[in-house]
Amino acid sequence: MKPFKLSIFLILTLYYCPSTYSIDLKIKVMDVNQQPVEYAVIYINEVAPKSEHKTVTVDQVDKEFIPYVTVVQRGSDITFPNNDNIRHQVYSFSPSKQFELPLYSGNAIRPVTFDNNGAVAMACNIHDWMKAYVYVVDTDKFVISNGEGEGVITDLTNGEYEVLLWHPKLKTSVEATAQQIVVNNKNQQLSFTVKQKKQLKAWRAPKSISRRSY
Amino acid sequence: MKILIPSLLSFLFVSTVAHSNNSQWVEWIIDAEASYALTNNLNYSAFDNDEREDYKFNITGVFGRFYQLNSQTRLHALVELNAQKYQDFDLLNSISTAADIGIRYKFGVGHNIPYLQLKMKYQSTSVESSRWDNDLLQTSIELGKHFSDSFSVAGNFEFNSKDGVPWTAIVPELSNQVFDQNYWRASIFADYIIEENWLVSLSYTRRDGDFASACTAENIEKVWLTEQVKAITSDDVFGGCIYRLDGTSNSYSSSLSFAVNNHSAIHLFYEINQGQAKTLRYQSTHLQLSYNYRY
Repeated sequence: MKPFKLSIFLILTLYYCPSTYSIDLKIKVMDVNQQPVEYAVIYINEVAPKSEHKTVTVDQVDKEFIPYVTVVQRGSDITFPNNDNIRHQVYSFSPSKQFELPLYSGNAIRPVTFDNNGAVAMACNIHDWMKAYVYVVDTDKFVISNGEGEGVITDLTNGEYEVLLWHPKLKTSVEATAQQIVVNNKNQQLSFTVKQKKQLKAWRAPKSISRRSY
Repeated sequence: MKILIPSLLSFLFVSTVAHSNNSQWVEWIIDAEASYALTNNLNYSAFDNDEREDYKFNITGVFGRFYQLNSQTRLHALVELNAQKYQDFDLLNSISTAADIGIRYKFGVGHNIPYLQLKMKYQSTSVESSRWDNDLLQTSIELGKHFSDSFSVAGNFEFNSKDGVPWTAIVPELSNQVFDQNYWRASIFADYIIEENWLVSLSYTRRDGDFASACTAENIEKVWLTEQVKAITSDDVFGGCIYRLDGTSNSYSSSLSFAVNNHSAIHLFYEINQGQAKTLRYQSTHLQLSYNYRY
């Protein structure tokens, strides 16, 4: 076939063959008062082969975990470097993953493998206000909403999907957030309205000296 | 010497455990507080016509160290410096230094696990009116618990032994050491975060033991006739005399705190104190605005 006709053929093939077309799913998460919700985990309910190994890190800086919410595929490792000049002691009692990293500075002895699905709440035993979450999923298609309540799941192909949402303050079950979408050759948008529990962060600022408990 | 000995004790106590396996210095304690307060019935008089009030500026610095023995046990050792300046009653201006050591045990690992804390504090106060100078030894035990990220409660019992200086004996058969006092205090505290960055605290304290009250010559006879005065001396701060009685008091306080950022906060504190000796009643109030910083 001549090159020109071959090019036209290839272009038409790419346009009409759905399996080769990559699609984005734009997400918007709001609360019942129409305020954007940050740190919502939105993901496709599917089991996907584990992505190529990447080092996921939850850092400790100025006595806070960074980031506050992390999403990983089941079986992934997370390292917990301590970039403060003081020691921390990281632990979790969540049923999905229980672990304890004894007092350390610098890098922890070992990464922690997250091998069960679900939410893992972590804290520091020295600094009561330090808290963060890891959410473990089977899919490699997930996103965490930003301060505007927005996120994008990329690289979807045509098909029917169930999309789920989790948030540290989610009042309902994850299953109750499920939405079905059909992806057919074009980018999609999906909105979530979530009911949140009133859950305030532990007090970190100093109390009066007479009431300090060291 | 009075500060050196407790400081050395603190150092020795902590250094003896410094070689425990898995124990480590966790971090420095550097706290500062500046406050401005109004105290009504500053002289804790039982007589309305004797009551005095004044404004006070107070600054405190705390410097020390945490030492984590294991995942549940923590030591602290710190020194505290405090200066107080009154607006009108300059003779009450004071400087104090204190050494404080304590051990805190959590009954497990986790945010909502109860803790038990034992503390000992030795404080030496030097007042512009020297007869008010005193050394205080305070020992306390506290049990507390977070019930959620927003709500916590603590109960505290402390015993105080204050050693004053002898001054002019104005009644031959009575002691002149008004500030030699022993008393205990039992308190309960509750803290509740009402919104992000806003904290409400409530407390109740029951006090029992020696206390000092000042009154003018006009009222001293009433005290003499109705109370069992344990010590008395002349008072150059409020005029008249100052005397020691045995009594009880109930204090109720509330405070509202605003977190400016992770390292500093503003507190508005109000306390009402209602005391009673054998027959006489005492009441004072305290309103304070403070700014706190933690490193």
